[in-house]
Amino acid sequence: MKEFLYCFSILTIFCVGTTSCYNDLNLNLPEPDDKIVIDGWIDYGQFAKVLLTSNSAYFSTIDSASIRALVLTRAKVILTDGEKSEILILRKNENYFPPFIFEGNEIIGDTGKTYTLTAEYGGKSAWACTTIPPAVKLDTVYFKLESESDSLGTIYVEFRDPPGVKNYYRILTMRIGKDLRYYSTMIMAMDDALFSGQKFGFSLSRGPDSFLSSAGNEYFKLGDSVSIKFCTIDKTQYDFWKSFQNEVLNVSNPFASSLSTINSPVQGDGLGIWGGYGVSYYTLKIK
Amino acid sequence: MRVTVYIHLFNNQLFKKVLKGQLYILLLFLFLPRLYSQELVIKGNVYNKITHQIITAVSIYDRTTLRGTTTDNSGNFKISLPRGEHKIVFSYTGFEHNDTIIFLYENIELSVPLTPLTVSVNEVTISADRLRDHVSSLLMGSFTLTNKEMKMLPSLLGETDPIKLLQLTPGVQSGSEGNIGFYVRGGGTDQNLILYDNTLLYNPGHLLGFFSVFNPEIIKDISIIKSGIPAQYGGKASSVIMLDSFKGNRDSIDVKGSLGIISSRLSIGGPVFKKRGTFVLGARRTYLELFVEPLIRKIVKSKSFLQNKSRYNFYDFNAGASLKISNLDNLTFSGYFGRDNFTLGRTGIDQQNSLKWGNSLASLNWDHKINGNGEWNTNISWTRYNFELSGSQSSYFFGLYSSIEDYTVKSNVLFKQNEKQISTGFELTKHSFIPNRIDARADSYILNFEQFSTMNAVEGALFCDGTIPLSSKLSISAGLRLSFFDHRGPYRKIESNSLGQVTDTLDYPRGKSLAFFAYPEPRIVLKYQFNPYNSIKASFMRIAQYVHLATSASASLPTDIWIPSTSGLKPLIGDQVSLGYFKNFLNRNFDFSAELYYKKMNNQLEFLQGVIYNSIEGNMDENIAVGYGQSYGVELYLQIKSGKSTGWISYTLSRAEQKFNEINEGYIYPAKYDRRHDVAITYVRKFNQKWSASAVFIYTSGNAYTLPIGRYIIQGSVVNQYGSVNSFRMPAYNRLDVSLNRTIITKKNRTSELIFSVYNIYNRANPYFIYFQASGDLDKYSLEVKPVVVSLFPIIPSVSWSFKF
Repeated sequence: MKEFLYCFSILTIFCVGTTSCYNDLNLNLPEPDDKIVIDGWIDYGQFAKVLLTSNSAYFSTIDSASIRALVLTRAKVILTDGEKSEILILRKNENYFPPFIFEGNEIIGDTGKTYTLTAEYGGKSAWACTTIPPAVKLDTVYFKLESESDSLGTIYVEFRDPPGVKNYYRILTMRIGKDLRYYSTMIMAMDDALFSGQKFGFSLSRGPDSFLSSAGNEYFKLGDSVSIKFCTIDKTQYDFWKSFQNEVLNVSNPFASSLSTINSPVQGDGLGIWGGYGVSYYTLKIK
Repeated sequence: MRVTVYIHLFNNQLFKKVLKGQLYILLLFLFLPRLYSQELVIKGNVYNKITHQIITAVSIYDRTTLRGTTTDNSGNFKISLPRGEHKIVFSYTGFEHNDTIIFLYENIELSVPLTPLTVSVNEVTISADRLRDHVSSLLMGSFTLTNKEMKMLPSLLGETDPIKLLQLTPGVQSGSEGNIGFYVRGGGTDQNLILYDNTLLYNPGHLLGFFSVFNPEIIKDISIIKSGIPAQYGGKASSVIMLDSFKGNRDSIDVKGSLGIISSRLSIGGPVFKKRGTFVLGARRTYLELFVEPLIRKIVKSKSFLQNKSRYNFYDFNAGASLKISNLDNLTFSGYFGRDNFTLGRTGIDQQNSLKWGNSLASLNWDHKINGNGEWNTNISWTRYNFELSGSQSSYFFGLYSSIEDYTVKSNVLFKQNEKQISTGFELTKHSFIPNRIDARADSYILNFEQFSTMNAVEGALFCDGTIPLSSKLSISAGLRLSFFDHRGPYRKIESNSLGQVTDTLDYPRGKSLAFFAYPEPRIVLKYQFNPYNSIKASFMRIAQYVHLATSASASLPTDIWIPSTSGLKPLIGDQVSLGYFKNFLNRNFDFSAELYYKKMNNQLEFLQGVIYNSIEGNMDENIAVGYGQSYGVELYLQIKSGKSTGWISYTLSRAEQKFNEINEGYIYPAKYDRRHDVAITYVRKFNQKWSASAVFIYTSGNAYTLPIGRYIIQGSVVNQYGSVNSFRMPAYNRLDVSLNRTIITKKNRTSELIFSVYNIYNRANPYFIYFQASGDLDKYSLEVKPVVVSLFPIIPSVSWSFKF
């Protein structure tokens, strides 16, 4: 709907709207405080994975050297599950960006536990907690060609929301052999308020690998082999992804709220997300 | 009355005895002034010399005693003055002053003609004139613009917009270009009580607010009061804006209209029932859809999702009538219906979106005169604002309907005697809110949205206003409004725990009170008038606002939702003090005023997650930050009221701030409409009977804005890290509009007018919003970020033709 309102606003401007890039805008932006940026998750039955970077000033240059400088390779990342504790190890992995990832090798994600992640770097410290809700299974997954197209289409899924409990969901997809990792669909998080305890179905709009290039094609194609990761998440993580979605999709929309804040669960000198996922996987070969 | 008392006392035996006693001197002292100030009455009416129609609200002012009054709705007046010589001025905007010297020896009756200024050659009166003479009036922060004045000033694409013109007066700020939402002395867009013929109108904008809903052929005048608002008005914390419509001409049928580039309008009015009554009908329609479809293709060539099947139009109808039932009773009717329709189609994937919105209102007003010095006015009205948003794609459908509907009865009795005036009455409104009725379907799945269907409330007030001269120089106008608000069932309240799980659902039956609020709202204005040319005034007002506008965006959109105060959402309380100096000089041709104000608003609201989020995630009154706002400033105003060149300069220096615990880490921050400087200059020049020209220049400080100061990476996307809320300023806004009017008079004395106007003549690219566009490919280690400034209106020339016969 926001997209619609945005289009509407463009129309009301009709022929007279003009867009111009000002280079002489005198924006004396203050330097932000240094923050540890956590981008981490723990799937059910898997080890934790954490990308750790620092924030940068708004107009700082981005090149390979500066991006590498953002990666906090010397940080100490500690994970506890209430009983055990481990220090995550940094590995290089070109499937992620930046291509360095801290990984666990002892604690495995499970339901009913609270996982606390602490990152320490340069005398600063940031921490966050998460839980893994029980996974929910999909009943049906199918592909439908769009009308007027002989190759592009949409994947539809159906499932039954467990009654009596509050559920939040995320869906990610990966085209096997084409995508490096799972990417979130355009709707980054869902709440069961609208279909609590009912059977429900919806379509998956394929999300881009990065919202820097959000004008990409949202369809899947005949011949694609698609892995679907259907996740349950807790409310804290839902609040983060919902506000993250608003931020990345509406950043250039004057009609969106001006109070842009991302509800991050990370406390201390930190930003970002640390989330647990209850997961079920499906693979659909589109023929 | 006083003379009678005197004679009676002389006939009294007791008095004769006292005359011989020691109290003689004292009694002489007591009664002589009464003898000296023997009061006589002038009554009569004021009419238009050309059309012989009566004129209401004419200012009548005695320069000798500084006393004044105005004509009532029938054009009658009554003023009591001491015996002797008086210089009385009858004035009304758009007419020549009538200065009359009267030697008053007995009660007299007068019929006073005023000559319209169009008849006088080469001169015009144009000004944002005060409701009355601003030095002697007991109103502060008030202005009136008449229809004639509105039409003389330049307009965007030939569409005169009374609300936009009001923004040229001090203390009234526009939201942004092309936005009908406006801010009065730091109050929000929902804090303006917009009364169309005494009936509340909720959304004054067409086309996302680019045009106002008011047909300029129908609006007789528009007035605003910003401080010391009389107690009969309430419910909105910042201002009252009154629009009066034409009800038709008693003598002949009038047809007025205009042909413009994007819209045309027509109105017809005249007498009915052997001139005992009048009527007027008006209509307006845009033909934007002729442009929109080709333009969408032009604008968004690259965006495949925007194609075809798109349409936009708006139209509105006005109806008005008046009927004189007897010499003492007058009935008037007023109605409005307007609609905006917008549809956006997306071919290929079978998508259809639409947004429709509009206001409807109707009111019946009964004026009854009591003994020549009293008036009883009763108004019954109905008003509704609703919008309907829908989107569908293949088997998916999403529909959102929202409305607010009020039934109101208001009755007010007014008594006037000399300078004294007292009025009292009541107002009662039944509100029905449908904040959001959502209908969503995915194939055969129906989504559960129905839980917030309707909210009901009763709002009411008892009010009393009094005006008394305390001495020859000091006057007071004081009032009290006792208001209440009752949120009542049927209503379903949803209780949930911190995990978001619904723990309970409470159903309140019809009529059951869920929340009740009541507040006394004092209003006071004090005036000290040194002489006919100088006065100072001070005022205080408190207003409780029980109905809030839930905005989801930084601009005013038709999809903003009206919601009532509830147990979780307290009424907004606005307090304001102001102090002003008023002066007129050079034979009253120049007016100057300076006003200082400070305003505090408690229980101000911000919707943290947007309205649709609220409607899905919980109760309507959750996810709302409650805080306070304050604003203060000085307003300067200078106008030239008559002559070949007329116009005004207004300047406002102000600050508007807000504080919410949940926003900006609890620190105070500038409101988004905080403007340090606001300047407007209007100029009208009449060259001769055929040609006149006008210009408007506007300069305002840039809007406050929140900008990112840093960024970080999450899942391959760059995310902005924001600085303090509204800590940056957009570049200043300024533009100059000009227009040239050519009056064409035919042999049969029919007039028509060609209006050439140029909006933003020096083509200033005023920033509408700024955003930062990041582009590149992080996997390839390249990223570029640049600020993009979007401007709306470049230079826009237009021509329109208006006629009257």
